[in-house]
Amino acid sequence: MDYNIFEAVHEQQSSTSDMDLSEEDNNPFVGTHHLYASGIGTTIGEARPENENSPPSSSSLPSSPAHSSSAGSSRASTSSSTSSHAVVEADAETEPFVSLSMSTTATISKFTPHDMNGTQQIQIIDAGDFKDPWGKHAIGYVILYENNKIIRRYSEFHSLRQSLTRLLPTIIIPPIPSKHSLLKYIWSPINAANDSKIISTRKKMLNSFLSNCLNIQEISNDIVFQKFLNPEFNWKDVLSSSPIIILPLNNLLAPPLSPTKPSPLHSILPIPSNSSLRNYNSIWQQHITVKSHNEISNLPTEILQNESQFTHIENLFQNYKRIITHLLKNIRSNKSHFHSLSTYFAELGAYYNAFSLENDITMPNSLRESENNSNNPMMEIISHIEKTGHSFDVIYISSEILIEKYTSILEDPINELLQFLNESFKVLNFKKLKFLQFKILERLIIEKETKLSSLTEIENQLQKINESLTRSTILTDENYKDTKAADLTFVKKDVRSLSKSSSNSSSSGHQNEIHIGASKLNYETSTPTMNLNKLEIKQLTEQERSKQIKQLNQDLSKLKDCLSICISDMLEINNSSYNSLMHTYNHINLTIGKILKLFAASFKAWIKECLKNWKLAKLQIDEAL
Amino acid sequence: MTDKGKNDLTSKAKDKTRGNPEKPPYWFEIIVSDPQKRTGDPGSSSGYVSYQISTKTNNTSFYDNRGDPESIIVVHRRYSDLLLLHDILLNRFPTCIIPPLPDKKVFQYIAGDRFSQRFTQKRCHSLQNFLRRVSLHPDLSQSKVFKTFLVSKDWESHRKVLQDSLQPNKDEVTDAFMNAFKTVHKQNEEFTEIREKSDKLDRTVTKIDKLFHKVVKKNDSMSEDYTKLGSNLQELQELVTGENEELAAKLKIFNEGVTQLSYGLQDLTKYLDYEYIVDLKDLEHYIDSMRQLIKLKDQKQIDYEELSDYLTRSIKEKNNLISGYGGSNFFANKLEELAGINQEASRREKINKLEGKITSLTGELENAKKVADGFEQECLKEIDHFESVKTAEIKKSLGSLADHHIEFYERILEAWEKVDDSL
Repeated sequence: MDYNIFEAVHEQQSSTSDMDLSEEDNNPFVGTHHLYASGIGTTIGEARPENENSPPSSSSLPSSPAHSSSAGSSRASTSSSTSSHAVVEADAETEPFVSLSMSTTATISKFTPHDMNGTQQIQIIDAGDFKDPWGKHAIGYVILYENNKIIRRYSEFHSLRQSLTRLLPTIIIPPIPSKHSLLKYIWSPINAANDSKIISTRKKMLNSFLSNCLNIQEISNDIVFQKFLNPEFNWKDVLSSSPIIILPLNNLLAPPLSPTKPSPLHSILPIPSNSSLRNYNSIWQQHITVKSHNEISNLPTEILQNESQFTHIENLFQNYKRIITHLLKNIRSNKSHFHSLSTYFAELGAYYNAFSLENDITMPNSLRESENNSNNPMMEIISHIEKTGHSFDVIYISSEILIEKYTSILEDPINELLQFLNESFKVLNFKKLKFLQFKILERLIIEKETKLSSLTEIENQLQKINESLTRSTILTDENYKDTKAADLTFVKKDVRSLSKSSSNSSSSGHQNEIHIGASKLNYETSTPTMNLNKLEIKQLTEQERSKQIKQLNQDLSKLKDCLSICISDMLEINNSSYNSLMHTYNHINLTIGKILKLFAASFKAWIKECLKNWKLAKLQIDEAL
Repeated sequence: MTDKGKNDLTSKAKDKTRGNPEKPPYWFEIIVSDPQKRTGDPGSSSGYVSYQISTKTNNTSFYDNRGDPESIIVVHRRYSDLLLLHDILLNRFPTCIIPPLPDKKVFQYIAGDRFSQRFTQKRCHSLQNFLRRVSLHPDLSQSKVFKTFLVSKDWESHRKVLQDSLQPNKDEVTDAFMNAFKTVHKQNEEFTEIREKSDKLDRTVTKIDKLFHKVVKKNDSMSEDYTKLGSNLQELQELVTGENEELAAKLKIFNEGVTQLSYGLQDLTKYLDYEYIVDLKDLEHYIDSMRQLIKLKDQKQIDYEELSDYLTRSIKEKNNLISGYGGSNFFANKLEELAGINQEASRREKINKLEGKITSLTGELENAKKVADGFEQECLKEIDHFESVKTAEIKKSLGSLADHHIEFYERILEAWEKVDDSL
């Protein structure tokens, strides 16, 4: 422990004032830093009730007075002079953003998933500039968990997630927002407005990530995850310590549920190539239809039965992915249409204002100021036009809020769903690769068994021949032996080197790279190799044969052990990943339901706001008639 | 300017008080509806669109003083008929702001979609605006041609007579052309202000009009988005059905909301496109018509100013002749002297000539002054009237704009309240 959070918080608080001056460009909270500063400054005891007391419905409260005041101020500034349209637009553009950022922070508590008891277990309460133990400035996310405040950086979330995927290959790890592409950085260099938007999105999504993780038992029980949420641990140290550094390079070479404790046999398992995943379905079909006589190929019935469930869920997820991708595309295009529409509304608001001031073309300017507008229909119409303009102003502002919600309620969560689906496919692929691994082992065993059987057969035959020969005359025996020996020495030289390398690589298998190559070769070009093997076998000497048989028997027992490990792995993977898939499936459905509900609510609020305004406008127009 | 016109001007101009424009004695309710494609005359190849014009009024002469005044008079007219009415009114009431007709829209003729619903519906609304404006005008609404147009069952025969009566006023055209580059010397301040303000207003209305065009286009793509969104949700619902009935039901409810939204938006857009934008366009045209009248007024003013210039010159010349050698005519006189012309006699003759000219000019100037002043007065009265009609129109169109928005939002609110409750 070399870093005290509260010291850092204090440091940040005390340095906010000069930070504003010196690093205004980098500080994303320009204008709102007081809110954040005080939020960080409060002690845990004070901060907690504050968060709990804000009910979801209050999200509209902080925003609505902001609208009316901003609308009111823009109104006041326009009615004073005609030439201030620019001022109105500027007002309308800057003012809502303040209220927006406030309203989005309020909606976070509304959207983040809750656990079973309905209380929030974990929350990212703040995000902002902080100094890491090495004095470097970075954006830190303040996590509130079990009365502890933990500050972690985005990159730390990223590495946590990465570690989790390696630690728990059968579990669908909740996604986090993706990294910025370097290109994006080049296109839009860091600026305060842009940055604060990214940060607030990340804050929300990281919050969602943590809540999702807590809901998954395997993750919340994981020691690495627990260390992440423990301020006692420096993340760098966690990353360079026990469970993570002893992780195998490939999860296929470790027991799926405890990859840090591989058996010696795991390390010699073959690794199927990712490209072979493409043939998975046909291989599986072949496996279950073509009844091989070897009992080795028999998978436990459980696995066979599960397969249809997996295929079903995979198809389901594929369809989800397809539809949701389209959905997201449409939502994005709708959002951009909506946005340009709302800018037209803003313009309309301004022009109606101008209209209201220019409408009367006969009344001299001097008259306008002095005349009381009680009975003059021309003065009345001014207020009607203005009221209409006001309606458009309000629609613009509430539309902007709704558009913001498009991002927070629709776009980001749906994007998260897509990531969830993609993660699910990764877990499914892991399961598939395990099966392919099994198939390689199976193939190797069958090969070796055939080789062994042909060797033993020849051995038997030779024995029989020898027996019969010893019983028959010596003359013929000598002749036969000569020709046989000549035969053997003749071919031996040609085949020797080839057979040696091939048998070495296929039997020993301690070196992975060679192993992959060999197994792949065996796998795809099995028949010619078999023929070659048969040919080889016939041309081996007696000593070599017995050596080979011995070797083969050794290999086979090893391979069979591997196979049984592989099968038990498969069973573990199936159980664990099926549970995780179902969990994800439920999560997706729940999230979709939640998205619908939340969107309906905010859409309704938008409609109400617009309706209220038009009714008000209409009322004023009617009163004059 | 006809004698009748002059009399009208002098008599009417006096008893008008500003800001309280004359109201027509009768009210009218005119609805233009039901545009229908008709096959044209055997001669012409293309057809035309006929509009149904329904009138209700408290002017009993429209019912030939018999029949039920509550009943509705229905006639069918085509665009060219309205154009004829417009031109006749323009011809007979030169001092009035004649409400404008919608553009001829040549492009639509070429593109061949002048029978499309969008085109005819928009034109329908615009024609209705035109007839209503005419009916609100104290003089125009009482003209014989207006009545004939609205009630006649035998319009075909009337049309031919009216067409023949319509002689293009060549004088006005040439006058207008000649005076095109002249400007009024002493412009009434009021008019300067009116012109400036109307220019500004026109720009604003044009801008709003353009913005609404954009809004309509965006609304179209929005409603397209919602349709696509709806089909996506439908797909998702189908996928989920059988797996998760609860979610499927939710999606179905949500999708209904989206569908309602899409339909509602389409209806609102239709209103904006077919009616509100047309109202705005008509307002622009109306402002234009008013400007035309001011231009005409300016010409009368220019006539008067030219005349008065001429008179001043003539008087000056006469005075010079009387007082002996005029500075400017010195060389001319010298030349005449050299030519042996009797100076004294020619001078007297000239003075006589000039005196005659001055008398007639003074008379004409008086007349022109009367015409110009009368025109100016009439113009101001017309502008007042225009203002009141415009105000009423804006009020009405804003009211209906608000109504349609309320209707739209209420409709989708109802739909989404249902969605929100059921989720």
